[in-house]
Amino acid sequence: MKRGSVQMRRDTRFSYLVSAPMFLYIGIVLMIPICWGVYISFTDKMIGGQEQWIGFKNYIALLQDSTFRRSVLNTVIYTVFSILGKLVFGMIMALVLNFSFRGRNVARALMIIPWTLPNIVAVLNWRWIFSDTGGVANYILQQLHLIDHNLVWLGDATLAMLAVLVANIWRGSPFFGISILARLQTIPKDYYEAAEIDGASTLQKFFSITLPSIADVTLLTALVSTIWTINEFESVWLLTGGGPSGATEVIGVFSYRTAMTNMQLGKGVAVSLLAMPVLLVLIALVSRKMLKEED
Amino acid sequence: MSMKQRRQLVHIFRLVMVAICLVVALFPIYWMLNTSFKTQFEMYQKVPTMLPQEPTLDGYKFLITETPFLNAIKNSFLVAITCSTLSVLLAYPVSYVVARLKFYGRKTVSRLILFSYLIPTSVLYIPLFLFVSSCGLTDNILGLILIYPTFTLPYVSWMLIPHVRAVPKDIEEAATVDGCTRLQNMYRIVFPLALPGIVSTFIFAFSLCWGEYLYALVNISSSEMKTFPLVISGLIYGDIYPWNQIMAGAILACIPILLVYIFFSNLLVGGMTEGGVKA
Repeated sequence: MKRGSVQMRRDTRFSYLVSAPMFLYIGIVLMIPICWGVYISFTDKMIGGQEQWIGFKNYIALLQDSTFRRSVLNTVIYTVFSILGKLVFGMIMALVLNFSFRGRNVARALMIIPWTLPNIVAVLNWRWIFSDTGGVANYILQQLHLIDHNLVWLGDATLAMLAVLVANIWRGSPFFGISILARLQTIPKDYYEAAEIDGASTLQKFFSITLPSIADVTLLTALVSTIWTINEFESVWLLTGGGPSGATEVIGVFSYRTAMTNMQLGKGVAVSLLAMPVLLVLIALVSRKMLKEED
Repeated sequence: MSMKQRRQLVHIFRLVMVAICLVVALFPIYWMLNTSFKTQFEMYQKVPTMLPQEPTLDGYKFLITETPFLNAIKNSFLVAITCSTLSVLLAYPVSYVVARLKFYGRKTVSRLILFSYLIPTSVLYIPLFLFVSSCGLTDNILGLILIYPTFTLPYVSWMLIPHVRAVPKDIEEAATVDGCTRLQNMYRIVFPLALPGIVSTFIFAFSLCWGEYLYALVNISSSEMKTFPLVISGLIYGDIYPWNQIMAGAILACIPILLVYIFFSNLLVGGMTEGGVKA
């Protein structure tokens, strides 16, 4: 017992010693700027200007600003549909890759490619596909007789949101797919065999064996993805710039416009910080789920 | 319908599903390639051509000779390689002790890593912009090298924990009996055994930096300091966008990532699920 605690004290000293460089870096370059950012949000700091303490004025102004409230609503819509889409397509991908067929490994590698591309490349490509002059999306939909004239995808409020969602879901689904697939492959085959002997249908097998087994990993993946989707900036910025007339302006874009275009840094940070309570709840949920397996 | 016919039908149905998934995943990439070899004229034709009628390298040529694209690729590479190397060096010891040793505050350490891993960049870009400018590194890739580890360090250390843990403990115990110190265990015994995981994590960290856009957009303005995402997205201005050039840039920027990915495919898919989201 005594020996154990001596060992532990030694391990503690060693652990802190070798961890120090990384935490020093994170402390200086991450934690101090976060605290500085919180302070800035209570000031009227402009780019290149001196700041003055103005209390909660930024926050109050934001809550009263209808453009901000609209961006919150847009963010909620965007996040919900994006996560749902990635969930559905990721699930399909995982189920399909769980079939046994020749060339499965190649198919798996190919299906993950969208996720390996730099996001900016994927987004610009979708902007071109949805372009109203020369864009291939209109052409394909017309060939399939789904539409009878060219749509102005990025110029219409609903269509623009749809376009941003398609781009985001296309790139994000493989991450869901791979995470779910990994879990699927650990489900013992005899579960299904036993169910077959009992005369279970394919749907029954899916709902009583497959779904319960993958529920946990799916939820975790969805939570992690939600954290990043709520704060999405570049997909929207590069595809629509938040337009047409604010229809796709999510809070990430609103914050960027406030801080960088209008140069109101203090207010820009306040935008991100207003989303923090939601983020902290999500982060706490994820931590609890992930760290439970740790110990 | 006999049992055999039914089986065959199911199999065909499955293959059709696989084919649909592949088309959805790959069509946009094919379209990117297709566009990059077209002329400006052909690109904007009323009926899009499924293959370039007069394949041309104009888009690539313009991109390389008339824009700072090559220099931007060099900048992106420098930033990505420096940050991912630095991150593996600083984060590996932390992952090792969290995975292997029992010490006071271990839980807090892993919680801290996870928290900084999950904090999204859009919350941090303004504070980091101010931080970079107070270091006098605005409009300098050194500024990016300074701040990219804020996301690669937590990422790498979080991903490496399960890889270290996957190394059998007995090997280390045997080494300890043979007189290895903790430090020797960490670097001489466990590091080489966890190397596949370390390599895959390194590649992911590299690609995170490689395509990073927001921090670069906020901190960099002059053309000789730009990374490639800034150069390609900068081609979008005016009335008619040169999509063939933009797609040429996109293809060139993807090639290194795709090559590495195809090369290490099996390793990476394993690494992705082991580290990222496990259950």
